[in-house]
Amino acid sequence: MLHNVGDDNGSLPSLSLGSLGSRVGETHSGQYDLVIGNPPWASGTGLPDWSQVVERVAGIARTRIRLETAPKLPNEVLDLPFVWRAMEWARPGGQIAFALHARLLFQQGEGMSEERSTLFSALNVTGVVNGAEIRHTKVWPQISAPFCLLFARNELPPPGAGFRFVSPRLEDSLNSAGGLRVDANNAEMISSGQVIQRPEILKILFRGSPLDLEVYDRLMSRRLKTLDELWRERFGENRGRPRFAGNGYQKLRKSSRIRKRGDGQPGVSASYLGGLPELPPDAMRSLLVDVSQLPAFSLPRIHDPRPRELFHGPLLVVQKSPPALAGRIRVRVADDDLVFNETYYGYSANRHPDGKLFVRYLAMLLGSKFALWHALITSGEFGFEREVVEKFIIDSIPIPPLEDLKSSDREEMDRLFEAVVREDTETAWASVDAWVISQYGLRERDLQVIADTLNFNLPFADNRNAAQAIPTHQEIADFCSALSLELRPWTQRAGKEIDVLPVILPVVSPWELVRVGNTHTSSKLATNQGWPEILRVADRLAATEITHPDPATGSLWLARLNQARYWSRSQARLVARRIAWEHTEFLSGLAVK
Amino acid sequence: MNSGRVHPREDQVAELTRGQSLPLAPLRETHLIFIAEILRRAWNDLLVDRHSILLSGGESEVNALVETRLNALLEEDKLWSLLVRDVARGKETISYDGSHLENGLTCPSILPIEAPHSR
Repeated sequence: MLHNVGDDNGSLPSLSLGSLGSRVGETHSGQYDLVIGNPPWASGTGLPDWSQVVERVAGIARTRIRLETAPKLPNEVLDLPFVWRAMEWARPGGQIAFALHARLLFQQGEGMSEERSTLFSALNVTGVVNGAEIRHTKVWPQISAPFCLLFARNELPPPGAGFRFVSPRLEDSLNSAGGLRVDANNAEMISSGQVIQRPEILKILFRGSPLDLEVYDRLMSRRLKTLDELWRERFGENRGRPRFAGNGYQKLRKSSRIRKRGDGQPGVSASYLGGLPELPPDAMRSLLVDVSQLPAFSLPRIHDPRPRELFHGPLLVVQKSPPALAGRIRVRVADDDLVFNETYYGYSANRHPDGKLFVRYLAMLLGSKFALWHALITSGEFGFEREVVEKFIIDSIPIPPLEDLKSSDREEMDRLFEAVVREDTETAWASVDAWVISQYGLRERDLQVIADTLNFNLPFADNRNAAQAIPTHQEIADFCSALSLELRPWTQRAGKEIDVLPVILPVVSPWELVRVGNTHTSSKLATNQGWPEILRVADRLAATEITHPDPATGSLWLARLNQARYWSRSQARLVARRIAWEHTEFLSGLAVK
Repeated sequence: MNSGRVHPREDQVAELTRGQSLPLAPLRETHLIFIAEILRRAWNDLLVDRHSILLSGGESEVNALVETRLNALLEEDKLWSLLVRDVARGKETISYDGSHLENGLTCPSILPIEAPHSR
């Protein structure tokens, strides 16, 4: 056991390296069957001897894998060096388990993707419990940071190695008692190779499902340029940043500096913006902004200068924080010059030969459910630690070239835009969603996947509540219908018809039950089924799903927790796939009497 | 589930520490037969549409055609899309225990939707 190896004097935080430093020397190498720990998760601590940590970790990494560059340990995070040192302390094949900050799984920038790849290349990770969703609960009281539990064997991942990626869902009643549901049977199996090659895969499967991954893969196969790439190509760069796009102005604040060559006052003069119409924070009501109705910008000074060109119309203005109820990123279009503040990002297409059309096109794409879904499943911040969509996430959304739009598509876009301008309703936007999906070469059923993911997995309170709510009769009926439709091709191949019906359980239970069988299936529960006992055992196992082939009745019983997130149409498709792989005898009628 | 029933699930933790059991379970015959049928269908389709390439093209060219056709069938055949997520060109791969090199060079490999495992 390594205990109290630092030089903490009990008053001030120690700046020594503790067990990361040289005090834990070679005598500990390969000595332990199990290395388990909850290291500090702090980052950017500026430890004076940090270079020793980097050097030591690089040495460990070099003994295990071929490396072009040493592990980055981005932002001087303290938890990851412990994992590297654990590879040194544990015996070969020994067990390693750590509680870590979940940035290891999801963060995309600042070298963390590369760190993730390197770590998963050097260690045979066997299981990951992602606690990002259950932070702020009594599962781990007073922990507000997203965390994860990493289980690994101290060896290189063998070919075909994989691990279970479990993301316990927020369940208020369970979590308030300090419990969480770890259902390894209902977890994604991810290969180490996938994590090494695809830095975004864990985020996709945390906020989405394998269906989202398929939609994402189809999208990526089109190799579209991102908004950032298109914008830079069209408008160029200034000091490494795309021109005519950026954050709105910031008000003068206490920290506003006095410039050496300025006028001796904090911040900068805002006279160059004076009198321009300003978009107030609550003005995002109409898609097309009528600037004549807006108040004039009147602040004498602002924190930092913003280029005047940023505010030239035609403009696309994007709200940083997607409203929780909307389920989409709020966008607005202004044909004339307009000032906006830091709660918005702006994209001025003034220099575009067809600027009005271009900003309308972008407004349709970025205002669609597709765009928020893309941000949710790929961002290393949104839906993980933050509820704000950063500009670089907006900029990473792939954009089909405007020039590729057929004339009929342009006409349709105009029609859809005008419809939303007339009436900014979900009905009008739903038509936009369908049109946008088609521009990406995706299908209607892909839009269903996107809608289900947003409905239950956005990081807002309404979505969290919707995910846990008891499914309505209609939702269960839709689930049954979708499951039946998915399984039909397989049963028809065996010359059978199939039906899926909800079943009333004889006891009050946190489960819902459906019966999969032939078209003469009854929705009545067979009296000899010991469902109360089956559900009790399932509850004890922390299961989220039970499938029970029953040759006696020619049925397959399917029980799932009665939480709406398990009863969407997308979930029905996933269940159908599992049944097709694991219960073929039932579907083929081979095991049915 | 209530607080009275909150307790450690040792079997779940065992699953997390065990990782993936290799080798993976073999595919069922029912699935293999269906995959063979789809391969035959893809080949027959190509015989009609790409006859000359099949007869004269090199291995990589033929495999590329088969890969594309098998992926196109994911859009057309609901049963195929129920079982398979993607078809991609394979490459030489070391077996799970490192004992031999799989002979998968340039043949299309099929990515099942669910890695079959027992529950």
